[in-house]
Amino acid sequence: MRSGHRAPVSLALVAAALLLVWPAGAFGQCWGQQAAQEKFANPQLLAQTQEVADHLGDAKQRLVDLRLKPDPEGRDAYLKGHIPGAVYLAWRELDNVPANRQGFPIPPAKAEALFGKLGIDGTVHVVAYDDAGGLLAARLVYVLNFFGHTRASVLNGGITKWTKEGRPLATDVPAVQPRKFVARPNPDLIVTADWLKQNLKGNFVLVDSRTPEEYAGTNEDPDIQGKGHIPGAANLNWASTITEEKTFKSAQDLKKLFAETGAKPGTPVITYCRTGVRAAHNWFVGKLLGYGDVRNYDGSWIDWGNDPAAPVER
Amino acid sequence: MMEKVRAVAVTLVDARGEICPYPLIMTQRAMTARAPGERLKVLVDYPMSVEDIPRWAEGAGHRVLRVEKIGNAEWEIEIEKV
Repeated sequence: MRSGHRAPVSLALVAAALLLVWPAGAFGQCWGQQAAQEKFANPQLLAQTQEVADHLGDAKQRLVDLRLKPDPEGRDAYLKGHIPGAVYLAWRELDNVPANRQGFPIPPAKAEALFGKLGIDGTVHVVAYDDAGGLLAARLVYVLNFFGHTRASVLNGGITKWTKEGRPLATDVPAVQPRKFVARPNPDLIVTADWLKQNLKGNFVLVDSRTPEEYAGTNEDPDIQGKGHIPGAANLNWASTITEEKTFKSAQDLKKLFAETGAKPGTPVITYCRTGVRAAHNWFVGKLLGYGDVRNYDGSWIDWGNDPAAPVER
Repeated sequence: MMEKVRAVAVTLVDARGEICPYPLIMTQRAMTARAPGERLKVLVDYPMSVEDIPRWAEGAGHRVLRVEKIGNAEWEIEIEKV
């Protein structure tokens, strides 16, 4: 029996219903089991819908729902139907440009308050999902990893796949017991503009995670003066890492995409985009593939492109 | 005459308190450092790991010698590296 079961009655019923259709004696699948079969180097980062379903009602699984649209539309979409037991998080809480400039995705005190309120502490495994092909879920996993919580996965296909498969949806907001989240920043997962300027010719591959138009500087962006990309950067649009069904491409295809940037296994990689969110997605893909040293220039183009002293290439 | 018995190296992996897939990851890492014929004794208290670890071990060609419930919610899994 799983200990510490605090799920509401409705969740217990869902779990009981699942047990009725699950083979006798089977406990189900761990997060990442299918990704392991698909030869991802760090499969625990990628959960599948069945693996999440197998854990419904398990107090060790903390589901976090993120939506692309800002509030109130984002929260409304959550309230209309989310995975049973999931808590909602507005993804804009996961980025802060002033903090980025100081080498943090968000301020540590904010991380402690935010994640603690969501019931996240060192004992739970977070499964993040979204309606955006894993973009926002990967951002959450990145921020959690930065603050020392490595027990976290992205749900492959997110709420899109979950709904398409006809899996149960809930409309209630679960009561969450706040927990103590201790922020343990890992500076090895981030770089700042100051560091990048001083090390631009360093031994790493710089991966621009924006669209080809942004990379080329042919787009319009009234908030940013600079056009183009950081000198030496290769372009890997984050959107090319997912399928039309909003699931991650195969390990083989993703390896090929990463290899095209010039990043070989073992090569340090630094990702960036416009604000560090799409870059966090490519950070996630790099980690999933087993790249050991992947960092996010979280300040990204909104920081670099507005700095007159920062070199730009077109 | 006493028969000579070759001692078999057994390494303990205490994964109690860990939730899946971390007991499996700990087992896989420990197995990498073992020589053929050596054994792992893995302690787990997360039910999914009780199936997860033997399934991986058999799939990887190792020999699962024992899966035993040793407490209310604790299991001991013994695996021999092949």
